[in-house]
Amino acid sequence: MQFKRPKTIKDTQTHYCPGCGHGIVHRLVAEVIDELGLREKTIGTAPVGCSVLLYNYFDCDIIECAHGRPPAVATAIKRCQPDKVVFTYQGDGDIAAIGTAELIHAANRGENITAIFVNNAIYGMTGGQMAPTTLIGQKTTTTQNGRDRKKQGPPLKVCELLASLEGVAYLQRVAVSTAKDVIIAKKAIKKAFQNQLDGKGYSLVEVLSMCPTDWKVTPKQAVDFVNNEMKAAFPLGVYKDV
Amino acid sequence: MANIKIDAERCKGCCLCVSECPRGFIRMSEIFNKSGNLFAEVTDIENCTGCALCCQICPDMAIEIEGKKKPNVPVKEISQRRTNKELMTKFE
Amino acid sequence: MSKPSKKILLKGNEVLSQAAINAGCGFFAGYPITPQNEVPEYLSKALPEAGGIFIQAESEIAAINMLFGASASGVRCMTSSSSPGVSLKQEGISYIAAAELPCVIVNMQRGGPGLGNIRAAQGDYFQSVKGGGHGDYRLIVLAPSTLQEIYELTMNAFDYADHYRNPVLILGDGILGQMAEPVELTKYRPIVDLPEKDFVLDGCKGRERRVIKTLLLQPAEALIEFNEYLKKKYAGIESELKLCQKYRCDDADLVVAAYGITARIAEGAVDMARDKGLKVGLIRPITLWPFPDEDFRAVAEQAKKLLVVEMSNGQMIEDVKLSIECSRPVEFYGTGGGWYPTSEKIMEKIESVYE
Ligand SMILES: Cc1ncc(C[n+]2csc(CCOP(=O)(O)OP(=O)(O)O)c2C)c(N)n1
Ligand code: SF4
Ligand code: SF4
Ligand code: SF4
Repeated sequence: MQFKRPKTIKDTQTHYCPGCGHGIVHRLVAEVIDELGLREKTIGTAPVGCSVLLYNYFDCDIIECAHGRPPAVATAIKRCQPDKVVFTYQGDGDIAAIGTAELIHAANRGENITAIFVNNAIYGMTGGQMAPTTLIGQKTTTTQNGRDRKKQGPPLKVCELLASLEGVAYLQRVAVSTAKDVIIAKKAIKKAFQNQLDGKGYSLVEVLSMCPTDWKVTPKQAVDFVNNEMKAAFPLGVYKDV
Repeated sequence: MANIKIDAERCKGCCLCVSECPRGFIRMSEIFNKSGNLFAEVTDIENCTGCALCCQICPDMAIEIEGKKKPNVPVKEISQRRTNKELMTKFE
Repeated sequence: MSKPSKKILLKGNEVLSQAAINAGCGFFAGYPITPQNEVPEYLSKALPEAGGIFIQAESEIAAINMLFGASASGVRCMTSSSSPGVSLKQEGISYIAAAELPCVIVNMQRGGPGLGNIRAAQGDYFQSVKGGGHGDYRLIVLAPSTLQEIYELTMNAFDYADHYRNPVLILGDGILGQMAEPVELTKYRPIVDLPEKDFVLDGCKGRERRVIKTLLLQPAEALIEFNEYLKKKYAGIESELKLCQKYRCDDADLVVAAYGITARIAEGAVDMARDKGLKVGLIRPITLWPFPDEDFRAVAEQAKKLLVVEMSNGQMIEDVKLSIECSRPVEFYGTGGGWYPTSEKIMEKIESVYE
């Protein structure tokens, strides 16, 4: 048994808060890149959000995009270099609010790219405002009495939304709140990359993830929130696999 | 016994590994690391099964394992014998 | 004796598209908007035939961000739109300028503000040369006035973009896009040296990995330094790339200043004035940024007055006044709302201000 930091991850300590899920997702993506031997042919896109600095941690080519635009940028990179592997890494604000149009159309065109969507139900980087995926009743700095379905609508479910699009090859929602979930998440991410190598089309893995800082809870409570609340609102599972 | 190492300087003290270890073999230090965090420590390296569940949950890639052998005590027994809570008090 | 030229009749938008293909443009993304639709229509067929990639994007925002990716892939790329669509591109343009990625952006201007109308206008001068998007950046702005010039400047635009690692904007208008003229499609030849693209993201095989980013947080001075660097780069472009055409200016008492299609209409007015014995000339900036200020200063030494003509209520006039440091009176004749001035109307204005 071996358990080492993946090669595609640099030695640098991350800037993420203690207990933040981004670090786990980074590791999983990097492990998959290592295992499939893709480091030297991968181009990743960094979003605007807490993970904007992911190029400080990933040891592969990275382009930092404007807020919400990674699917458009990735589309062009993949079209120009079909022999390369292109992945997007986006938060919920990036993918499901400001970048909804880019997401839906890249998915619907069936762009042969891999999308990693980290859903932490909040705007992390800007200090805890409501995200499109914030749960009903969840308190944020812009929904101080909790999200109200009548005023802010229900949380937006990206996998369910994309499932109807013909261009989409693979959709799975996973979590990183328990070791068991992490192992499942890794398998899903690996499949999403393998799909790209097999030319299957748009593959997205939604990862339910912890943001203890902006949820204003301890890391342990954050894990519990994912397990008890988020998994109920965002059921895990495969939403599409063609 | 597994050759498990927790990088005290990488650890941010989130404690997620503590609750994840099925054997209750991880506890938090009583001293701070250079960044000012309490860090995770393996209390019973001899009997660590090397299951790597702690590595899986660690957001900071602070735990590494190099190879593993069978634990000295049968796994079944360990899990019955020791809980995290007991260990924590034992080390207090 | 030069060979007889082989001219073919094309619309401005088609000339521009063919010029892009001839210059090796390998990627186009755009969103339909009148009066530039012939560009995506032409390229949707001709670009893939030439081995390039055409994408009809879901919006102008997506289109400009696709250029961000294509340019990072080392491919010559272009997007085209008209005023409202170009407004949507501004965020992306700022990022591309900050990342120093070469690309060509086309604006076939139409009437504004708002949805305006679909007639030709020049109301986007400020947006084009004064920023448009956020932050301290510059676009190289080229303003052709004939279809032959659209052909040549479009090819040059790709060269300037690569040479300076900067986005280049071609500022046309609805008339230039829609009108047809015989054009000689000359062979493409680079007009500046084209540096090796050492920024391209193509996987880090056999090299250090590369990052293209525009967020500069640390150290705290990083962004100051970067802006200083950009300032120097822009100063370099200013010292090298000011293009301008003068017509009958040598002895002119009154010099008309106009760009794009308006300059061509004004040329007719200048000829009418000369026929009447009035000493009138024309100065036409070809680069709107960098603005050919020395040429303006030179004509102002001779002329007693300048008359700026625009298809707007007066935007370039500010740069004219600045370049000559208000050393001469500057009159204005403009038509807003998507209407072009006629040579006769300009002539009337010339007669009313001529001393
Ligand atoms: C055009 C634009 N609007 C707003 C912002 C400010 N902004 C930065 S990050 C962010 C939200 C990020 O949230 P999310 O995508 O959920 O990622 P997280 O930080 O939670 O990982 C916002 C609104 C911006 N940078 N650009
Ligand atoms: S604010 Fe939230 S998402 Fe951002 S680093 Fe901290 S825990 Fe992670
Ligand atoms: S490897 Fe398994 S048994 Fe050993 S400390 Fe980690 S979780 Fe506990
Ligand atoms: S999970 Fe990692 S960072 Fe958190 S306490 Fe354990 S070793 Fe430290």
